[in-house]
Amino acid sequence: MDTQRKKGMLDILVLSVLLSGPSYGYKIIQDVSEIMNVSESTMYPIFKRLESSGCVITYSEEHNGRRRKYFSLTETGREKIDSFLSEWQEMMQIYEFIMQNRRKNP
Amino acid sequence: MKKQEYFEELLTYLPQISSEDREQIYTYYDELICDGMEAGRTEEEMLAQFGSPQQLAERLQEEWELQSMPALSPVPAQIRGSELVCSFLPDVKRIPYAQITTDCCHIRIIPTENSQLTISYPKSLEQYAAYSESQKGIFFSLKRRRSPFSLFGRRSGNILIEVPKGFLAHLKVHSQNGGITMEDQVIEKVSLSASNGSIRVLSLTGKELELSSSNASIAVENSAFVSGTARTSNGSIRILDTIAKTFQVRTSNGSITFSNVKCQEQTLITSNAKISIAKGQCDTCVCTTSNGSISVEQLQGNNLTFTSSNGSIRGTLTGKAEEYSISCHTSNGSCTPAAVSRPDANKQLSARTSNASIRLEFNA
Repeated sequence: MDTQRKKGMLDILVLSVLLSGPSYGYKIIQDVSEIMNVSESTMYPIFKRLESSGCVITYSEEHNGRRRKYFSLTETGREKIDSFLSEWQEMMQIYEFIMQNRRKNP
Repeated sequence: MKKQEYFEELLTYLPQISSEDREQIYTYYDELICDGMEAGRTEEEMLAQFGSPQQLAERLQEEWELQSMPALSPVPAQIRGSELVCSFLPDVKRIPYAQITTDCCHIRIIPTENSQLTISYPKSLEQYAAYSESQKGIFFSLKRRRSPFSLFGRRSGNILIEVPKGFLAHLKVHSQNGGITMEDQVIEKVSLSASNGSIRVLSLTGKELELSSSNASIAVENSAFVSGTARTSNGSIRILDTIAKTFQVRTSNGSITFSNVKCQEQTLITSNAKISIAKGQCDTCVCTTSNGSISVEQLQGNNLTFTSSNGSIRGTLTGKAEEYSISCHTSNGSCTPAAVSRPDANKQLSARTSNASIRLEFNA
């Protein structure tokens, strides 16, 4: 996939993983990599970007004697997912239209 | 490599980031490693997956650049022959920052008597040019954004950047897969980075100089600045006729040459290559290599530290042996001068290698 597009998708993917509740870096990466091939090392700027744009908020929790940073979805983050979905709704309609024309004229 | 070493090396490739960012980067990767280990992976496996410290630094850098760049618009350029020319703000003093990023081009930076910062580039690259201008500064990009639908060949070209004399701002130029040369400039802060391209700076006067390249050489001549860093890999570094307060120079698999350099604190680090210093004056000089020799000629300094392994350390120092507390050691080779501890001496000489000889002479 085109790198620019992949970047935009990745943000939404991460946010969507958080729909089911707060999670931490390692777990989020594991969840996301089920569907998209991501490298662990390059996720740092993405988490940071989501935090600074207000899509997630963070907090730390004690885990096995160390601190672990958790990410939690905000209302802004939720809106971002919804706007992505409605955008793609439109895309899908265009796709269907193109496909129909293609089928009619093989 | 253990994680401590890994992060120390990573941070040396990211000299410009804030201490807060450093902290956050460390915490983030440390947490990933701990969680990975809890899931049954080893520290080495986790680090191997991050790539080398340099690769990780480059990827982080790219990511930040994309983020720091505001939405770009087409460039208001004018045609001059086969070139497009783009000039910025008549009042140069109001620009605190100018960042220029290109791909597959050679960049030449020259001075101009005009008060405008001007960028000229081949017409064929028009479609890739984009820029933004705000209170933060100027961002200019000639980077090709790859789209899955258009497969275009990589075109190369020459780019000319004309900088007004006495540019009291931060000029940052990044050339991917291309070299950079800079001549006759007076600029407050300069950051030049090239990947797979060499960097050459001639006659620069400024406060801060940051040079970084990979797989190519760096040369600085006839310049004066307060603090400087030059970093590359698989390429040599040559510094001639230059004055600085602090200068840190680091490469790997490439030689380092200092000739007629006056610098209060200088650090020269390489691996698998030699370090040579001719006619140098410094307060503190630290030279480190492995598998390479260190040679000094007429070097004058108060704190001299030379470290190699498998390479000889030779040459002449300006000064009297009696003024120095000397600590020289090699495991397999001859060693002059012998170690002499003078607790009240205010000058120090330390030379250390193994499997090679040490021969340093004093010339008053």
